Amino acid sequence: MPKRRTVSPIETSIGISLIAILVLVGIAIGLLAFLRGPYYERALTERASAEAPPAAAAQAPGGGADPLPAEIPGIGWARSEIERYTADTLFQKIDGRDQAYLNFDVVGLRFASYRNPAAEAQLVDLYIYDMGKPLCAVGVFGSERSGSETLIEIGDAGYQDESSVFFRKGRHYVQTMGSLPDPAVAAAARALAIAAASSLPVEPAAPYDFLPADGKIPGSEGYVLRNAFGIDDLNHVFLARYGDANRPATAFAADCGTEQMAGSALATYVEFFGAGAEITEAEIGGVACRLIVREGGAGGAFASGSVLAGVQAAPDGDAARRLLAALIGSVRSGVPKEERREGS
Amino acid sequence: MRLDRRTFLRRVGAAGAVAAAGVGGAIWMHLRPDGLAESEPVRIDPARFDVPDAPARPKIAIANGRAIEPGGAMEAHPETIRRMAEAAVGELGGIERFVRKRDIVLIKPNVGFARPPHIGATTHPEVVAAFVSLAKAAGAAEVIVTDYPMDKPSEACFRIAGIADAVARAGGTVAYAREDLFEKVAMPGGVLALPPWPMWYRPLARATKVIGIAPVKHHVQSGATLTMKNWYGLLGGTRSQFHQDIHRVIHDLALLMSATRPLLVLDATRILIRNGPTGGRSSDVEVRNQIIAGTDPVAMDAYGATLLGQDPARIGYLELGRASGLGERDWRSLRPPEITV
Amino acid sequence: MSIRTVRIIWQVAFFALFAWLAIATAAESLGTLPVSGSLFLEFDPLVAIGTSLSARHLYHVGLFGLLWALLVFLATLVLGRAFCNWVCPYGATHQFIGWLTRRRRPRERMDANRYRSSFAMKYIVLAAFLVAAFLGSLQIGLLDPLCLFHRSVTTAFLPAAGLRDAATRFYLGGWVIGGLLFALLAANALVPRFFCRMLCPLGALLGLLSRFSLYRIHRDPDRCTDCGLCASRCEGACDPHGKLRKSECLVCFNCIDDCPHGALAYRFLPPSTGEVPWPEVNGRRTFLGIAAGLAFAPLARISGRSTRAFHAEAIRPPGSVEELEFLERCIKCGQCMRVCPTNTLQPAGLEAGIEGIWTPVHVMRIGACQVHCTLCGQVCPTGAIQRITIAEKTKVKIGTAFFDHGRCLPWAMDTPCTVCWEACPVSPKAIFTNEVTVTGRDGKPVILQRPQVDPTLCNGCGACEHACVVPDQRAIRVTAAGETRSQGEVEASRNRSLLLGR
Repeated sequence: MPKRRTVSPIETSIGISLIAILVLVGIAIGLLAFLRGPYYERALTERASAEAPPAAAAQAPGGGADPLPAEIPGIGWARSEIERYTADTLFQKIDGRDQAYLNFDVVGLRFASYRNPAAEAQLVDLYIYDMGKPLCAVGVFGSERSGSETLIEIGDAGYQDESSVFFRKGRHYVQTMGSLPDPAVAAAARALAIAAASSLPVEPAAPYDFLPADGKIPGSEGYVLRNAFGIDDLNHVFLARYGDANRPATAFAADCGTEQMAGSALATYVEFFGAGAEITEAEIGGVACRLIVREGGAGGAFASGSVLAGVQAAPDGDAARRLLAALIGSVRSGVPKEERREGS
Repeated sequence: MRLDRRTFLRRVGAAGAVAAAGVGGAIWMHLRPDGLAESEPVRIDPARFDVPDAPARPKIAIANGRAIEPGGAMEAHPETIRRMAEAAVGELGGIERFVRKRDIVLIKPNVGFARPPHIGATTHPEVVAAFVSLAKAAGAAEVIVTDYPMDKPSEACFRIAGIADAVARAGGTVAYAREDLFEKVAMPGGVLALPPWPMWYRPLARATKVIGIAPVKHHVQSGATLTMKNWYGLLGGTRSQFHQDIHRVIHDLALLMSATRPLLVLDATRILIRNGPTGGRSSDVEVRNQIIAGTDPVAMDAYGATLLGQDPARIGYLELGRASGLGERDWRSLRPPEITV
Repeated sequence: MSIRTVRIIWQVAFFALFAWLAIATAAESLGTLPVSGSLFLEFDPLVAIGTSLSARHLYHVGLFGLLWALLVFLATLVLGRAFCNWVCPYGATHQFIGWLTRRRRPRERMDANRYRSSFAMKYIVLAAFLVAAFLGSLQIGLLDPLCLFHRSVTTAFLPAAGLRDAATRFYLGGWVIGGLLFALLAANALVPRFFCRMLCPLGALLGLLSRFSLYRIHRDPDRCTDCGLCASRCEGACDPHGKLRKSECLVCFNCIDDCPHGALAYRFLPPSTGEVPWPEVNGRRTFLGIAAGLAFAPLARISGRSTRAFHAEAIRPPGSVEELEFLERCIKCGQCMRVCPTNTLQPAGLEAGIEGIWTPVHVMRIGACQVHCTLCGQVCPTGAIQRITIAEKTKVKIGTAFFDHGRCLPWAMDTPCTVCWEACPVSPKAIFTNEVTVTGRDGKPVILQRPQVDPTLCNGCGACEHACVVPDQRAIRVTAAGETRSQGEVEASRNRSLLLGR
């Protein structure tokens, strides 16, 4: 057993200083955190993009109140921090779904979350997509619908599905998505959507007078920016739905640029859609049409000038003919042409 | 024991010296670059290769050889080959146009495979020898012959193809490629955006004139391998990837080497008409006894394609060369003179 | 309070720091962790000197990086091997086990703490390692105490003990690493501080530096009665009762407390009783060590496993430098494996050749590489994995996925499945499908989506392989072909690119 030895004062003071150094080392390690910064990339947790969308707010005229209100009016749930994304960083928020919006040339997204302070599980997420042009908002809105929803009075067109509300207004496409199928959450989603809609700017509606008005299901206007129906280079296609909302027929029209291009587009279309069906020629209203009839439904297409137009999923051959006849009449005034943009 | 000043200084000095060395070494290491940055690629400087234009001269000339050894040997006589070479180049302005006194001449034949000359997969050794002696006769200080073969080792290829021997006899030297000495060369960005590519650049770095001597061969993938594809032999790295886009790569290779204003030669003494580029049977080879010299790669290759019985319009890299202005595909319009020696 | 008590406090404090960092350096601590377990490694002079020799560079991101090792270097020049007994957490663990298994009788204890000439082995090990490093093969991580301890705790101890997030982690070959740790710790029962005295290359390095250290244990011959009690708890077996072996003394200060006559002190003076400044190493054995180092590096390269004959499964983490440079930098510390959120990084067996044992490779079957994660590069202390931003990572490919048509359900078994396509995280997806209709075995038509890889888009993340329903050898597997880190290599044998110009 070692004998107890006397510890000199020098030794004690050295010992105390060493302990002090140890404490300083501990503090230094803590300081290192500030010197070095966080051990992660900000984008991982904060998920905000460095570039804000290019003055989207400045471009839109009007719009007094902030479309992302600080809290849901009348309900009181407060807003989280606003996240902003551009077309390039959209994937950080919605991962592979960004392609659906990129197909319509999305410009940016603003996102915020509204949580019920009294109930952790109740929240509503607000997505405001700036599609750049009202037509693109029409397109993306239509692409996310099944077509049989009942429209409600909101924005230019919108509908509610359980606790989520989807609408478009001008160039914006908005989703408010509730976390639970709970009436309280549904009401909050609805109120939030209405508040967002009232502060988004009004922009002229895309004209759809070149598609027949008779029998058109209200709010069913749609638009495809590129490669419609899986056909390469069939761009800038307008469409709308007709007849029974549960089994609607579709009428579409697009300006292909020249008569020759419309002709070749017609040939491609008929080859594509006519596979396995009965194809007949018919003259309707003085225009040569190709009718495509199969067991599930009928359709047809024609080229008139530089316009390619047609009908899909009509209940039978006669219905297809009727809709085609109406379509031939309505496209006579011309279908909007695709703007030639740089690098498009 | 009391510590005297000397011991004290000695020990502190020793510790201090080690400390200083450590600190110094550490700071030096700390400040050194981390060796991970990519080095700047080499760029071929056209100014080094001053071959004069000769607008009055044809861009392509054909020389035929008449004499064939009695007894049916397939090769034309070495003397005849020498005269064919001289005649073809003569039509272009003579070897003096392409080689001047004290030039360092780089000759790039095809020594891609370890095959004997009669298989037709490599440039005829006598044709190589002819141009080596022509260059030497014109006063070249050094004639370097090089290639980076597909078969390994390189020495075996040069030996079996008879080129090592021929070059030595004619007074030139062979430069064997070493992969560890390859350098990245900036690609010209013609129709493809190739990154800087590892190349056997050393001999080219010293050369002031370049002569490319390609055999006329059928090629399974690109149709024919002639003067434009001949330069492939100077490239290294993962060059087997070129086959993913062979025609555009061949075009850009020819574009790259056009900066050296090369004298292009097609060795049509024997041509490989099928099963190229490696051949294997004597029935794949046809004797033609021609040497074609020129400065227009597209025209030369179009002529070579015709020799193989192929339509130049159907060869991708020729269409690319025509479209980009690299050369003239309709070789007939250039009215190449044809001489027989 | 004696100085020995202070030493114990320091040991406990640093061990606690190490333990906290080891457990807390996990992906889930994002944003709250100020430093990572790599902190200790940055102060390790052997890591600094080793990587300086092999990579000719002292890695740092920001101000200092491995330059911190200078602190320990300079401290050793003043104090001797104080690091070994005051800071080193591995040493503290050995000491603790040695204390638990200590001999009861003082005579036996004194005998156990005698210097043995076999303790010179660590200098030979150091020589071999440094020579091999100079020739481009960094193997110090095998036995460096901090690398070894970090790696063993990460891949063996924490998962085996089931602590926090490590409870659900797997590490291939972890049993070997853990077994080595166990054996070395258990050896303390036979020879106290077995590893520190016999094998530790860092201890050897600091021992060599101690030659110049200003302070050492001084024995006053007038007070000393040659009782030998100072050796009863001597940690370094440095013969304080005889000629002090400076290179072995671990500055534990146990001897000062144990001396009943107060004959020992820590002084600036060399003892009049003499000291042994340099370690006693047999010249012949040193030569063998150097020869082993000289032979190792070139022999290891012969297999070609780090160049042309690279193993398909040697997939390196994103941000890694090219393979031969990687082997010059990786210290096998296992920090990247610790922090990887998906547990995909595993210690290699022989996939990367014998030099690459215990370096990190991806095993996609266990986890895929998350697209928006760059944690491995952030904790790597030597830059074997560079620190890259997430934006830079989008341009990095670690390999390419290849289908095995004999195992894929839609290709070989007429069974619909598109899990790989769904799992592919890049946009546009690197997996696309072609729809075909085949006639099934029962004569009915089966519509199949047959998946294919687009190599221009695939970055080798392994989400497909990880998601593949074929549970054993997956029907889609990632290999290192097409990785971007070796794209720029001039020599074809070092270039693993797949597509032209990419």
